[in-house]
Formats: sequence, structure tokens, C-alpha cells
Amino acid sequence: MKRQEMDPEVEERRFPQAAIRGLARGFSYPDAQWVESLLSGEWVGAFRRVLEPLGASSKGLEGAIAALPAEPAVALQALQVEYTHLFINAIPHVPVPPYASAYVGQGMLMNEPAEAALRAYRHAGLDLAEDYHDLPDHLAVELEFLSWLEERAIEAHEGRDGKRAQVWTEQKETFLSQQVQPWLPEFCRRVEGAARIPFYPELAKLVKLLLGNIHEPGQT
Amino acid sequence: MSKKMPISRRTFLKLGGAVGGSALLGSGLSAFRPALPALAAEEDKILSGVCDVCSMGCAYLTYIRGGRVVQLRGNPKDQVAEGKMCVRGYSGLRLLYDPDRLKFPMKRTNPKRGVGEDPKWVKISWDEALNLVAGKLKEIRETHGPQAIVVVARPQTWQKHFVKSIGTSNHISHNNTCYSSHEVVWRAMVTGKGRSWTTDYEHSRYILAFGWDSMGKAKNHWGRAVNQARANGAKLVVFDPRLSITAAKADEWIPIKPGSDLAVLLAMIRTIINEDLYDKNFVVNYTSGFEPLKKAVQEYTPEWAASISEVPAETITRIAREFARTRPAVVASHKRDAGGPNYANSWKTSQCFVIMDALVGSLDRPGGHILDRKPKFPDLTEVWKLPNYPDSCEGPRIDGLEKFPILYPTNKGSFSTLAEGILAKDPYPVKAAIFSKHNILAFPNPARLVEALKTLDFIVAHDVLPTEIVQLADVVLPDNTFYENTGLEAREYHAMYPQVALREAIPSLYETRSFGSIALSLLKKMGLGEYVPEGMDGKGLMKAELEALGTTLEEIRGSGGLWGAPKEFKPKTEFGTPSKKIELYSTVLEKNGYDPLPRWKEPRAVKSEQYPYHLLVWRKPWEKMSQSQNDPILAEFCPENCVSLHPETGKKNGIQDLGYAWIESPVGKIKVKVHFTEGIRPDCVAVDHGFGHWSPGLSVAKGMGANDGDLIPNMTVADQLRVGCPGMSALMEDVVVKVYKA
Repeated sequence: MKRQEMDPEVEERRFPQAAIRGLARGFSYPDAQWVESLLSGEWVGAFRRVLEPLGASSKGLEGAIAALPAEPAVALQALQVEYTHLFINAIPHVPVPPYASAYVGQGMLMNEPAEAALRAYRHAGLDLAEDYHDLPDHLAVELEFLSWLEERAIEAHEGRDGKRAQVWTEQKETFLSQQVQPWLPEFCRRVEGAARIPFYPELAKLVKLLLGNIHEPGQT
Repeated sequence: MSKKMPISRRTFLKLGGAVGGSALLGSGLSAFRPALPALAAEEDKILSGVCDVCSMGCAYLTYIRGGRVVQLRGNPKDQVAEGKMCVRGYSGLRLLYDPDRLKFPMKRTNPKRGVGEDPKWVKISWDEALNLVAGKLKEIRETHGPQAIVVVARPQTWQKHFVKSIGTSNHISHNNTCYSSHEVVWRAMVTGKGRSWTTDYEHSRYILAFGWDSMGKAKNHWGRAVNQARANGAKLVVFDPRLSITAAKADEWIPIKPGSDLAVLLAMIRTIINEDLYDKNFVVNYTSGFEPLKKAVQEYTPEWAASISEVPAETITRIAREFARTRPAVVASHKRDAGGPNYANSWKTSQCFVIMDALVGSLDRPGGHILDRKPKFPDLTEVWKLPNYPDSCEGPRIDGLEKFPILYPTNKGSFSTLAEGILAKDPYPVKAAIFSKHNILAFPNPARLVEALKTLDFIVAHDVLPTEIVQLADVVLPDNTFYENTGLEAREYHAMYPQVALREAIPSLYETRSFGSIALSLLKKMGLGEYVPEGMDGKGLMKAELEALGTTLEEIRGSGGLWGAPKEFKPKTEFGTPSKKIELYSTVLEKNGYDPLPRWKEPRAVKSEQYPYHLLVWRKPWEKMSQSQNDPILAEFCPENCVSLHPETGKKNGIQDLGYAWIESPVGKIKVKVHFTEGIRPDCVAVDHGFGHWSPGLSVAKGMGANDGDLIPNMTVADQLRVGCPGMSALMEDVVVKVYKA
């Protein structure tokens, strides 16, 4: 299909949309293929191309990737150990549960934020995939959803359906402000406090920068 | 990208120009699929369940909204729950959603294993985890023999099948710290099988208890029944060195000297027989060995018993008379009471419990203990054609269980002797252990067990929470909670007529799996596929069980079980012993080299100048070890355990109320907060159980209080043989200690 001529404003929206999707990948469990693309510079290169137009720098992330072991299998294990430690189970206890529910009330999981996330996915016509076995309010899933909503808004713009685009944009803004932003600062603070290698704190800085409405000095 | 993300994929393919290549950023993501209209409705529903926090098994209803459990309520149709749940049952919800839960299979990447070592876990797939575990077990089995593998797991269908199929005899569970003394006594004297757990308290008129504190342990079904009986005019009398919750509800609390219940019971039996107060019809028709019993108890006068127990002779006589004259009367009993595995003489105490009940005719009679009438489910071998299990699964055991012939057929191994068996490599070296849902803090002297486990080549932990054993494991397999399992539960605690409760699974969280599912996968991967015939799984078993009951899932789904209608109670006239009678003189005990009659036997531990106090262990109504210890709300109730001391004892030792004290036994010491109470004998110290977790993986429980098990000696098999209990009792309170200011 031949690409249509695009409104530059619409085109600009693709940068944050792609960056959020990149962050969703970053906060998912590392696998061999992804780590290979990290070490080859491919992944961060793509990130750089979407961050630069947003006035954000990928330098910190590039530095964190450079600090990983050069051998892919060793780098993979280092990232998996770190991910498991921060987000799944750890000795001592898991320091940064990546679930919105962990940041409300008693910190029990599957609380109202999980139900609200699931409701928002349904409202948008989505279900969690059968082979997705984690909770609905996991940061990576919420980021993927935000990115997906933005895609729908862009698509509607492309189709000259301003009303529809407005609906998708509002859904995204609502989800962002009600589901993601309330716990993002605490999540990022805990990542920075508990991490043992710089990779996830760098990702946390970017997620805070792009979504948290909190500007880090010297980064914009 | 998977076909489940058609929209995202299309959009990313469209990206070009300045954002070209950004598809790479999100490569591999696939958390979503287009919504199916039916699914949303599916996630708002009410499911039936059976609580597994304790063995009572209260049936409940689970209210699910938006895919999550929002409320639990007792199922009013269940006569155990009666529409209610206890605080531990309700807390199960916080276990389900605990952030510390084990979520995915993990392996240790740090080659150093030990307490305080970071295992440096990585999440792995189930395929990798099962291949790793099966490969290692197969190698150990082939190199060192199947006995080199120990499985510490509940004695249930799939666990037993797995253990026997791999050919090890070493299936260990907690029974000898809990009820094995009762089990062997009932096997020998009454049932020929195990102990029944139904008691018709509601219709009792006299309830006599020795260390029984089921009301304090939130066994609410019994609590309600005893309260109802009392409202109907029944009397409750409790012998206990400590004013337990049950004792506090009683008409009379008698603070007996620890370990001397046997003496009081022997004198009571003598009184009832000599004063001709027993139920002659029941004794003549349904028991054997009355005359030898009568002869054996003649030496046990109330005055003699008073000198041992510090209970006045007239009290012993009066209560014996009341008990025999106020029928139906029953000796309340359940697991860790005075007849449970607490003292070297507890099995004799349990023997006296049976005799007391027989003398008043309350075995399998209304108002007494009711023998098992629960529905019979088919055995695996009745559902699937299975080859014989390897002979090695009947071989010598690392815990020495085969040396205890009445207990041995139960295949319920011994906690107390496991550590020394592993350390002594006697009768052979152990190389691997699988721990499923068993906490090492429940063992006597767990530090010794940790030493033993450190000598093993391979440890697998299957659990819900990262308890202490998980920290030592090479591979961690995340377990389902009972909310995430489907199955049928025959009512163990309400067997007046057959009832079955249904457990319907909520969707499993994360990638957790039950033991049965893991076991069958491991057997296949270990080359033991002949033990996993076509169609063998939990669903197949449940189908066979439903067929055996003559019902379907659809039929029972609405009510949460097969509750049946009350039937006319037909008392048993034959029992499972060689004589078909309740054997007051037990030929089974005699045949196996044990004293067939009740006789006085001293407890093992003797107070001394160095250790002048008896240790008592009890449990708060809301505590159930790691299943409830990591619950933040329950932790608020009681952030640490305490030692209960009589004020006189505190004063004598320079200890202040609400201060801290050391409790020290010959094997260990613990520091605990002090609570003064006049509800305890001055020669006792009481510590509540369920605290002292040191696993840093338990973010709430870690560091709360101290573990009473650190004070309790573990044993060798030779120790057990010297003690001579046919149930290998772990002697959980046969311990003397000293207490001093911390």
C-alpha cells in the first residue's frame, strides 16, 4: 500500500509513540534476540532516532548498554539476573514490583488498578493474549497499551477521522493520567535505588521523562 | 510478531521516514489480542472453593470482578463452614496477591549456595526448568539409586504417585510433628487404618480435653459445635498447663503439670472401671481386652496420679465420675494435644483417650468421635492401568520409618530424624531433595536441617512464597495457591454422612503450577513415561471421581458441592482391628513389640537446676506459618510472638513484663518479648508458634519474632527407638528450658 502524504503534526506523534513502545520492550523480560540487538547498537540506534526529535538524549542508555558484558550470553544473564532481582523475586524481597497495584493501599497485587487496566483494555477492544501470563497492570503492558492507543489515534488522523482520533487520544490521555502517572515516580525512584547495573535506571529516567511529566535537569 | 498483534504489526510496518527502523524498538511484544465478547462476562462470576489454610477445609464462595477476586464468603450450604470463614481463611486472599509470591520458574546462577548468599535467580521457562530438574534427578537416580532422592511433600495422590514412580522410599511429611501418635493408636485399637477427624461435639453433654485447643486454633466448626453443646447444657473441662482460649471458655480449667496427662487418665480409667460407671453394653459388645485393662490400671490410684500431675485426687475422681455419668461424653482430641506427638508418653495418653471414649460408648456414636464416612474416590490404579512401582520404593528409608511397623504403611515420614539421616549418610547418601510446600521452620531444630541440606548436590523448591528453603534451592518452581486449583474434597471434618466440596480454579496467576502437573511432566522427561498413561492428569482424575459419585460438574457447580441430605446415622458395630472390636488390649501393638495396655511412662525431658522450666508451644488463631506470616494485616495484629510467663517466674529471674527474655534449651536459644500472665503454671514458659522467619524473601514475615522450633531437639533413629513411640513422635514439647533477661 502506498503511503499517504502525512500531516507533519501527525508524523511528529510517531516519535513518542515509538519511544513508548521501545520502553515497553525495555521493561519486558530480556531474551537473547533482544540482547543481541542491544549489543549490536541496533536497538538503541532506533531509540536515538525517535528520542532526538523529542529533544531527549539516549546517551545515558547508550552508556548503560556499553557497560554490559560484551559476550552476548554473559550480557543476557546479567540483564536477566537484574530484571529478576528488581521485578520478579529477589533476596531480599523484590524491591520494585512493576505493577500499579503494588503502589496503592497495602501493596497487594491485583488491586483496583489491575481491574481498571483490564477494563480499559476491554473498552479499547483488546484482551490480554493467551500466552501472556503476567498481571494486567504490569508496566510493560501498560506502556504497550499506551503506544497502541497512540497508533490508533495516528491511524484515525491519517484517515481524516478527526472525531475518532480525538476519542483515541482521550483514551490514551486518561489511561496515562489515571493508570500510569500516579505510580511512575515511585517506581522510577525505587528502580534507581535498587538497581545494581545502570541499564534499568536509565530506562526509568526515559520513562519518567516521556510520561511522568517530570523533566530531568539537562535532559530537555 | 505473533498473529495476536495484527494491528500493532500493521502500524509498525507503516512507519517510515524519520521513525524508520522503530519497529525494532518494540519487537517481540505481544501482550494483547483482539477482545472476545464472551470473555468480559466470564470474568465477573462466583466460583466455589475450599480453604486450604488449615485442614478443616471450609467451603467458600469466591466473588470475581474484572478478573480479580474481590470477596470471599463462607458457603452457607457447607456444614463445616456454615457460611463463615476464620481470619486465616479470609487472609488467603492476601496470599494470592502477595507481591512476594513466586511467579515464574527460576534457577540459581550463583554457584555458592547458602544462607545469606544471593542466589542470583533468573526467570526461566517451564521447559527449561523441567528439563533441568528431570535431567538432574535422572542422573542422580541412575548414578546413586532412587533412594538418593528425598521428596518432602504432602502425602497426597500425585505426590505419592511421583515418589513411588521414581522408586524412592523417602517421602517425608510433617506428620510426626503433628498427629502420628494418634494415627498409630487408632490404627492399632480402632480402625486398622488411620485416625478419623469427625467429632460430633454438638451432641456431647460432657467434653473433656487434655491440651486440646481447637477453639484457640480457629477450628471454627468445632468451636461453634462446642459452644452449641454448652448452650444445650454440656460441660467443658480442660486440663492444660496454660489458660488456652479453649480453657478460657471452659467450665473448669485445671492447670496440670506438663507431660502428666497420662497419669490422670490412668486414674480416671481406674475410677470408672472400679466404680462400675462404664457403659457395659458398649464394652461387652464392641470392645475386647477389658479384664487385662482393669488389672493393668489397678496400681494407678487418684492419689498416685495427684502426686505426678499436681491435680488433687478428689478432682480427678470427681471429673472421672462426671464424665462417665454425663453421656454422651467425649475426650476432645485433635493433632497437637496431650495425645499428639508432644511427649514420650503421648502415645500412651492417646491410648487412654480411646479407652475413655470406649468406656462411655462414644466411639462412632452421636456425641462422640465418628468414624470415617467420607465418600470413597477411586485410586489412580483404578482409573489408569499402571505398571507396578519399583521395589526400591519399599526399601530402607533415610528417616528410619521402616523400623516403626505400625506407622510404616502410612508412608508418612519423619521430620525429626531426616537431618541426622542425611548427615550420617545412614543407610545411604542422599543427593537431592524436592521440597513442595513444606517449610523447614516447621522441623525441630531447623538449623541442623539446613546443615544437612547444604551437603546435597541438588535442591528443588516448589512453593507459593519465597520461604527459607527457596533461598537454598537450585531451581524454584512456583506453586499455585488453592484458589488456582480445581478438584473435589471429601469432607474430612463432617463425615456424619458423605459430603463433597468443589474447588473451582480462578485463572492461574503468573506461570504457577500444581505439584501434580509438575510431577507428571517430570516423570515423562525422566524416561518414566510408563507411569503417565494416556489421559492421566487432574481433569481425568476428577472425571473419574465425579463418575464414582454418580454426578457431574454441572450438577454440583451451583451449590459448590455434593452436600447430600442428612441420613439416619447407623453406628458401626464392627471395627477395623483383628478382633473387629475396639481393642482395649491391643493385639496389634503387642504383635509389633509394643505394650498392648496403657501404663505410666515418664516424659523424656527432666527438669534440672540448669533447665528448670517446661516449654509449651501454642498457636494464635490467626497464625499458620508461612501461609499467613507474610500477611501485612495479620502482622499488624501481632508483629512478634512472645513468651508467656507467670509473674512469679518473671520476678524470680529478674525479667520484666513487656521486656525481652532469652529462652534457652540444650539445642538453641531464642530472644522473645515477655508477656506476664497468671494463666500459666509458674514452672512453664509458653511460646507461640509461627514466627522467626529469616528468609529475606518474605518482606513482611522476616525478622518477626522467633521460632520455637529452634529450642526443640531433632533426633536420630536410635533416639526414636529408645523413646519407643510407635508413631515416631517428634516430642515437640518434651523440652526443658531456662529463661533469663535479654
